[in-house]
Formats: sequence, structure tokens, C-alpha cells
Amino acid sequence: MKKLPNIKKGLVICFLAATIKLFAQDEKPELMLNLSHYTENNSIQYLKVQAQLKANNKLQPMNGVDVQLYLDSVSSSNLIAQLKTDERGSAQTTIPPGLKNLWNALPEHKFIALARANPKDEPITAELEISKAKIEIDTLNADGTRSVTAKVFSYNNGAWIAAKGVEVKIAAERLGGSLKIGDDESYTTDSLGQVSGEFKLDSLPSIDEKGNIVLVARIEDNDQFGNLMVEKTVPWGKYYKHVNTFGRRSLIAARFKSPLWLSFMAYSIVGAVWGVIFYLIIQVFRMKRLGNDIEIPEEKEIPTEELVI
Amino acid sequence: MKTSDITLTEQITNDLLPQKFGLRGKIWTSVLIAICLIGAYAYFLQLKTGLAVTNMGDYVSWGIYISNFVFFVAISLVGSLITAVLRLADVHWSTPLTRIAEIIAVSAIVFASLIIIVDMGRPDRFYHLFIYGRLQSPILWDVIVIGTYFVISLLLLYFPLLPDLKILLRHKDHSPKWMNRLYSLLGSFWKGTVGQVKINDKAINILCITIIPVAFSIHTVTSWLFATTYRPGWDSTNFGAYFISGAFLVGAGGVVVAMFVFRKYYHLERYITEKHFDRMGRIVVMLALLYLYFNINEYLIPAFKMKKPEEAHLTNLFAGDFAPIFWFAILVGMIIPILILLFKQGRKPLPMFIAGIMVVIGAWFKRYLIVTPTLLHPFLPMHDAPQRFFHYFPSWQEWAIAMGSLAGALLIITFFARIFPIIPIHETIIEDEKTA
Repeated sequence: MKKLPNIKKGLVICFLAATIKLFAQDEKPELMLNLSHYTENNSIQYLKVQAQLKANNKLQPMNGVDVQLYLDSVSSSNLIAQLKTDERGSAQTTIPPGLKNLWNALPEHKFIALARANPKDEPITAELEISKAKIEIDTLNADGTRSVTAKVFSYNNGAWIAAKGVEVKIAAERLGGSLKIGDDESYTTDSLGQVSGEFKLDSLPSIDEKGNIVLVARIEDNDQFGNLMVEKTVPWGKYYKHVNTFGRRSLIAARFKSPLWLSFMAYSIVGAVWGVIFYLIIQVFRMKRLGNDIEIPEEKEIPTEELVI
Repeated sequence: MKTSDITLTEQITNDLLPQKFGLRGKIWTSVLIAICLIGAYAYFLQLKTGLAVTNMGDYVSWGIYISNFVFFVAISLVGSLITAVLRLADVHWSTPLTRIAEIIAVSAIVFASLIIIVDMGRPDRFYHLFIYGRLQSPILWDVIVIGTYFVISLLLLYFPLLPDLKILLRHKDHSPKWMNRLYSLLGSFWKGTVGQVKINDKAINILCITIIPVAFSIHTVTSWLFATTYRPGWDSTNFGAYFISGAFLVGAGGVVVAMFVFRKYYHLERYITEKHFDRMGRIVVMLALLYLYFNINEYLIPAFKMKKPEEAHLTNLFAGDFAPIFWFAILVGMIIPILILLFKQGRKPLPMFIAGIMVVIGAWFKRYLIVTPTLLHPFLPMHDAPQRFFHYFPSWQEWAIAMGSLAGALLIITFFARIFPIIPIHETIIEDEKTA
């Protein structure tokens, strides 16, 4: 009889689990907006919005979503841009010159994005607050040791103040990615807003004949400053002259550029076999000539010593 | 010549002269032509729309066309086995089978070439192969050896035919005018003089010697198309020998089927005897055992090691989606024919015919298994591809073209047997005189 309450408990748990499962199955697709702010080389600024649809615990990029972006408040005078997301669910814009005064007036700003999954739906809002900031990058080459220094400043009361405790990545730009300059993935700014890392990339292929490479200091997805990036070109790379081997004979070369040993072997074999074939074709003509030399009456038997059949 | 000899010679000649199609022959030919026409229509659709009409995709880029190509190349190897190897070994019992073997070789190699052009999609790409072809590529080697083998096979068909052409021209009333004109065009110069016979015999001997390495090359190079590609199931140094053994088997199986059909419908029991079936049966069983050995080698060793990339491919063959076809090909293509042909009763014409059919059908599916499952198991995972790319089943156009090509090969053999003697008349007379 004691077992009965346990069975009841079990049934209740099963019922609850089934109910949760049912609710989970009926989850309504939800539009999600993600807003990011980028500053490149302390001058170019742009905003990026990402629209995604959350359904069945999966996020899918949403194409063709109309998004309105505002600076500080939702009003027509503060409108930054009206955007439509692409097939990757993303859209981006710069801040228009008309909002320059508004931008310069405050050290901190709020970006507001409004979007609707359907025209009848309530708009979805995404907000992003950022403080104005900048990075400075510098290099030092002392006693053969090369190092890169980056300083982070935030704008406050009309002055640039060193920002402490900000995570900064220092790297060399490569085609399709960045290569960290030393052992550490990232550095954190000290009380002077400064980070420094030793440049340990020897013989890094340069981007031009002068041996230039591009160094970059980057702040990524910072809650206060957003995304900042600054570049500096330095002659610390090594120029490798590209030698074009396209015209050389090799197994991977283009037509008529096969290795000589292969050409010799292949053409010898093909030549020998086709030589035999041509010889045999000539034999047909020889037999023809021999046959044409003999005139045999239609029904007359040929002497057996001359003919085989 | 004695009177009895003349009678015997005339009887052999009359028995072996090409015969008109009977009702069954006409139905057979009509069915083949119909299949060919359906294939031609499917090819027209492919030319019009492109390879999109096929079910091939990014992964299975070689489908039923290439399986068919490998099958044709394989069956064509029989010309060198029956004609060249046995002739050079001074084996005379195979004389009635030489022309059957040679015409199978020629028809198969013709359609092997055509099916490759079909697989290219746009036929002008074949021309590109010559103007942009690279000597380093096994594909160009294949084109060279197929062309060479075709010409040699044609010559090996032609030279022994010359004495028969003279016989055919002597029996002009037996054939329609256009056929007589064809005989004249091909062999009116043949008078059978000592000089001509000497040249002809020498040419046949040279051809028999030349065709063996070329035949080995054609199938080895075809195997290299696979083996030089780093893929599960193809990454083998044994592929050349494995392909050649399989080719000899399917070729011999094809000859057995053709022997039975020609014997039955042209009433050639006197020339293709039970002794021929018995001896061909011994050859087939030996070749089947050899091919089975290579199969064990090709599957057991990778299965024993079970390297990660091979695992999915082998598991799929042994117990997955392809398991029914795989075990069908092994059982029907090798093991059951071996069991039938090991016994004397199994080497009688009808059981031999059944075993031959099994070998040929099993061999066709074996080629499908060599091509497709490997392509469905690439080393890199299959990502971001449409669902249909994960499986392959040929479209109706692919089936129609493949079946049309098989029907086309059979049609060449059928028309050849209608126009020329399928058993060499002259050689049979000589053999008969020697026996007497």
C-alpha cells in the first residue's frame, strides 16, 4: 500500500513533463535583434544589425526584415537609417552627417533599433549604449626587440582619459584573418590605459616589396565601447618574391609541360604500338597488290600449289 | 580434293554462312532498336537540358554512366583472351569462338567510348580532351589505349575474316546485293595465294602479340582512373590486377552466353559442341575463383584494419544500404557460378548459359559498386548540400541511356552475325581437314 503514493508522484511528474513538452512544441517563433557599433581607425563608424528568428530552439538568419535605427531616442529627427536585412539577416549603415551635432554633444550615446517580423506585429526593440573611445597604436624597436603598444582612451567632459581594464587584442593582419604577435591572445589595459606586447613573428611575409605588414589593435564586443580597431603599417615583414613555376615541366603542370621522362616513355610506347598498327595496315595494301596481280576467272579453280583454299 | 571433302566443305560453308533473321531474330532486333531509340531520346533531352537531367551531383559525379563504361571496357577484354592468348598457346578448340569474342570486344569498346562522351555532358568536351589534354592525366591515357585497342580489335576481326570474305563472294546468291558489295569492298582482293596467306598469318600473329599488352593496359589504366584518386575503396595498389581478373571473368561469361544463343538459334551444335562449353566452363570457373580471390583481398584487408575513413564505406557495403547489391554481386557474379561450373553436369550448355548470365549481371552490379558507394563516402564530411546529394539513384534518362548503350552493343553483334559468319568458315574447314 505504501507504493501507491510513489505511483501517484510518478504520474504527476509524467503529466508535468508531457505538459512542458507540449508547451515547448508550441513555442512561437521569435524575432531577435542584435545591434553592434564599430569604429575603424578612430574615424569611420558604422552600425550593424543582425535579425534572427528563434524557432524550435534554433536561430536562423532572417532575410528582408525592415529595421529603423535611431540615435538616443525614437523620433524622426534622430533617425539614422531605414534598413532591410540581407539573406544573412544582416544590415549595416554609417551615422549620417546630419546627426553630427547630436553625436558631438554627448560622450555617451544610445542606439535604438526597431523591427517587425510582420507588419501587424508589435515592433521588436534592441538598444545599445556606448561611450566614445579611441585606440592609439605605437611601435618600439629597441636592441632588436620589437614591441607594439596600444593605448585606450574614453571621452569624458571634453577630454580623452585613459581607460583601465579594457581587453585589447594586438595582431598582424593576414589575408582572411589576424595573427597574434606574441604568446598572448589578448592584453588588459593598465592604469595608463596601455597594453604592450612583444612582436615575435619572424620572417612574416610582407604585403609589398618594402616589407610592410599591417599591425592591428582591436577591442571586440566591449560592453562600454563596442568594437574599435586601429591599424598601423610597419616594415617588419619579409618580402618573398613569388616565383611562378607554372611554366615548368612537372606532373602537375599544364598541357605539353609533362616531365621529359614521362613524355619520352609515353610517346615511345604510343609510337611503338601505332607503328605496328600502321605496319599492319600497310600489309593490307600489300595483300591487295598481290591479289590484284592475279586474275582468276569467276568459276575456275586455282591450282592448289598456288592457293591455300 | 576428294568428292567427300568437297561435300564436307560445302556443308560447313552452308552451315556457317550468315542467315536471314527469322521471326525471333526480327523481334529481338526490333526490341533492341526500340531500346536504343529510347536511349537516344533520353540523350537528346540530356543534350538539351544538360546533365541536370541526371541524378548526379557534387558528390556522385560518376554514376551509372561510368559504371557502364567500366563494364564495357571489362567485357571487351575477352577478345584478347579467346583470340590472342589461346591462339598463341596453339589451342585449336577455341577456333569457333574467336569471332564471337572479337565482335563482343569491338562492340563493347565502341560503346565504352560513346558512354564516356555521354558522361561528359557536352560532347564538344571530348574535342577539348585532345586540344587541352594533359599527358600526366590517366584520363588521357585511357583515351589513347581505348582508341588503340579499338583499332587493334578491328584489325584482329578483319584479318581472319579475309578468307571468309572470299567464300562469301563465291556464294553471292546467298546474300543481298548491298552485302555482296560490302564483301567486295572489304575483301575482293583476297585470292588466297601463298603470299597473301603468309602475310595474313604473320599479321594475325603480330596482332595477337600486340593486343595482349594493349588489352592489359586498357583495363589497368581504367582501374588507375580510380586508384590514382585518394578515396575509400579506391586507394589500392592492387586495382590493376583486380580489374583485369574481373574483366577476363565477365568477358568469358559474355562469350558463354553468346555461344549458347548462336548455337541454339543458328543450329550450330556441330560446331559449338558440349566440349566447347565444358572447356569454357573450366576457364570461367578458374577466372571466377581468381576474381573472388582479388575481391577477398580488396575487401578483407581494409575491413581488418578498419581505418576510420574506410569504415563508413565498408560498413555500408557489408551491412548498409548497398549490402543487397554487394552480396548479390558476390554471390550471383562469382560464388554461385563457381558452384555450378565446378561439376561436369554444370558445364552443359544450359547450366553454362545460366551461369554466364549470372556472371554478366553480377559483373555489371559490381562495377556500380566500385563507382558509387565510394563517391558517397568522401574523406571530408558532407555539409551544406541538398538532401538529394546524400543518396544516388539514376534518373530515368540515365537508365535509358545506359540500357540503350547495352542494347546498342548487342545490336552491333546481332547485325555482324547477320552480315558475316559468326564462326570462321575457312578456319573451321582447315581444322576439320586436319582432324580428318
